[in-house]
Amino acid sequence: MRRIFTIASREYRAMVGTKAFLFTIAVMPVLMAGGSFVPIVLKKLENNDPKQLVIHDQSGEVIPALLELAKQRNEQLSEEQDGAEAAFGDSSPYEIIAWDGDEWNDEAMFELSERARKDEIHGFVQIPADITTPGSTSSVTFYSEKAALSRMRRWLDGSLSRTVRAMKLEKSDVDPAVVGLALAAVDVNSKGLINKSSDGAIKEAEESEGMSSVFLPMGMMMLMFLIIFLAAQPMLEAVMEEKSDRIAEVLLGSVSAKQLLTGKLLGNVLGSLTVFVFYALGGYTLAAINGWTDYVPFSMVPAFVVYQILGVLFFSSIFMAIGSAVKQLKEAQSLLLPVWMLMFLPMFVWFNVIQEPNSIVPVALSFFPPSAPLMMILRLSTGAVIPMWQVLASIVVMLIGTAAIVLAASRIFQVGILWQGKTPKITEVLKWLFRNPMVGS
Amino acid sequence: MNAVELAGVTKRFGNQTAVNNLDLAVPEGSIYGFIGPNGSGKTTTIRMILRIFHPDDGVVSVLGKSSGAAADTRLGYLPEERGLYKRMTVMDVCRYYARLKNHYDCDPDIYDWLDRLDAREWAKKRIDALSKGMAQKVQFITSVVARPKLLILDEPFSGLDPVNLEVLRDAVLEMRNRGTTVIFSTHDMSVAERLCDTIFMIFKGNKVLDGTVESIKENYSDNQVALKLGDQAVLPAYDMVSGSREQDDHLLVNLHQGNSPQQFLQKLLEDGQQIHRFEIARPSLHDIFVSIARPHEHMEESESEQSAQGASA
Repeated sequence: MRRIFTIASREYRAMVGTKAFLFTIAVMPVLMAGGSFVPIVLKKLENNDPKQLVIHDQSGEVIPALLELAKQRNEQLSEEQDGAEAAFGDSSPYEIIAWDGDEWNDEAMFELSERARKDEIHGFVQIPADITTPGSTSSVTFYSEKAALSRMRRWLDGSLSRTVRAMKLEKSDVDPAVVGLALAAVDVNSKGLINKSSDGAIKEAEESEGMSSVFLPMGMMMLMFLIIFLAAQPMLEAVMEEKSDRIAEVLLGSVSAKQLLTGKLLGNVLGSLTVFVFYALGGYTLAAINGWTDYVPFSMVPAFVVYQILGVLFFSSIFMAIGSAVKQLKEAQSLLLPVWMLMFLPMFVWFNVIQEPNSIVPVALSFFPPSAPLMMILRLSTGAVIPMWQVLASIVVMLIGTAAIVLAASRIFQVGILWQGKTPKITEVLKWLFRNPMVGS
Repeated sequence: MNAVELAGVTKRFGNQTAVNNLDLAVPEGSIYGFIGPNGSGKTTTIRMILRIFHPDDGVVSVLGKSSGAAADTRLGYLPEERGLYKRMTVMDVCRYYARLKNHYDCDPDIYDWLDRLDAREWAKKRIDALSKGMAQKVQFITSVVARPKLLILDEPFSGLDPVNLEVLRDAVLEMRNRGTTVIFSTHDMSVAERLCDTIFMIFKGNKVLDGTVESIKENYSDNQVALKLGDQAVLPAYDMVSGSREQDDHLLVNLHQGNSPQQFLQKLLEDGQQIHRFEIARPSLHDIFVSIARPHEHMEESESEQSAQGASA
């Protein structure tokens, strides 16, 4: 037993004691979350010069309102400059210029088009004379190089609609404020279910927000994936090194293959728990700084740890078996692809799962050992009521699946780690599950 | 008392017999040399002694324990060239291997060996920063630090310069003097001849030599003559000659089994050859090794050529 701990201790230090590992656990979340920040970074790099729009208002009534709306928008923009909203909207100030030519004809429009091509203006707009006449169905025309995609066009669309609607109502002797209130959309608030506190009192339902309903489940699932990945991948490389450098022979001259495998897996699980503690403390600190501690799912920690241990044992065993059976990383990668695909299954359907965590696919994948750790953590962190029997049954299935995989992996490992010469075929490796050519008949 | 005993041991991998009906006895406290060409069954035999492999037939008894027992912490093993974690330091790897042999209070022994092999200053260096010779010394320390009763060394001197070779050779002798039985596998016949009390040669899974160096040489002394002829070019015409090589101003000629030097001399005289020197030579271990392995190699080459021609036809 003491020698198993000796092996586990070396494996643990080999896993968490390297600069590469520390760098990886620090950088991986940044890389994984990095996608969210890309639009903001790109936005910063965008040209935010003012955009000019020439408007030929044949009615003569609309342009003062547009000038005022543009002014309000520009003032608001300077206040929101650093906000996330600004990142996805258009951060250029808008300048509305009233057309002051002599005659509005094709030639005038061509001239304005030429100015737009030279980037002197963003585009121009033609507003018909009867636009504010009640009953009129005239439309406004927006001319620009990329008119359909122009964010300025979308702003004009909303601003014009509101302005023209108000003017038409006034001309019809209807108070626009009354109509506005009558047509206002009805808010539907999202709340969680009613709970009772420990003293039996009914607790008011909490607001259901994007943070807890979308980001938390996704974050927990990604954390589980990250921990399993960080644990399993080094196992592959370590076993390949032990095989190619004939370290395995020295080790197996001192301990049995089962002791070696047990020690390695134990060290690996301890390493993965260290990663969990690192991220849990880091996550809690981040939540505390931002005032999000209410969202920290403390009640999920036991389930997370159980699924993490089982998931690490499951995938690390497979990685060890593959590492022992191949000679080069290239050969291992082709065998790893289907394993990763099985683990990735919950990632393909995660958005549907957070909407319907108790539908047939999420429930089925909760009982499929390769996908159970990610799927159950995803489902549990949605806050939906997951029947207890499903959680227990999933853990039992996972336990059985992990035990079977560890046993199969140990049989492959015992032969593969000593296998020299050409890489065995898959069929040959599968035969090792039933007969070990090293131990004799 | 024997440290290792193999009785009727056979090991097969699929249809291939790696070791066939092998009997072997390694006396306690001896230095026992395993020789044989690549793929002859040496490593399989060593792995059976280490309990990494188990025999299909026969019994392997090591330090009084028979086949089927678990790995024995009283054994030290040094595999050829490699066997060390590249990213561990010298001290850490020595400690790790000692602890796997249940030797936990190992630091004094490690420092003692580092001093003896002039490697103390490398104690905190990583293995991948060491030269090949230095890594070989560290590997040796990992195999002896737990004070094994049986030490198995696979090509312990490969790649070493003459100075380091002497240092490690002395260390092996010291282990023997401390009462450790040493088995070492090598291709270097001169080292085997100088160091080993007993030599064992395995070829194609079968034992072909087993005995003291002296007794083996005695048995093979009828098969080699030192010869200098007026016209050396006529030699290949003699069927009883299995091979020859130049040595100083004469040839060392090996005769096929069943042909005595007297018969060969008589034939040369009958043919009227001018003989400047004819002397029954005492073959070196190298010559004996080659005389056993080479005829088979020729045969194999000829067989493989025929099969290749058959395949292409």
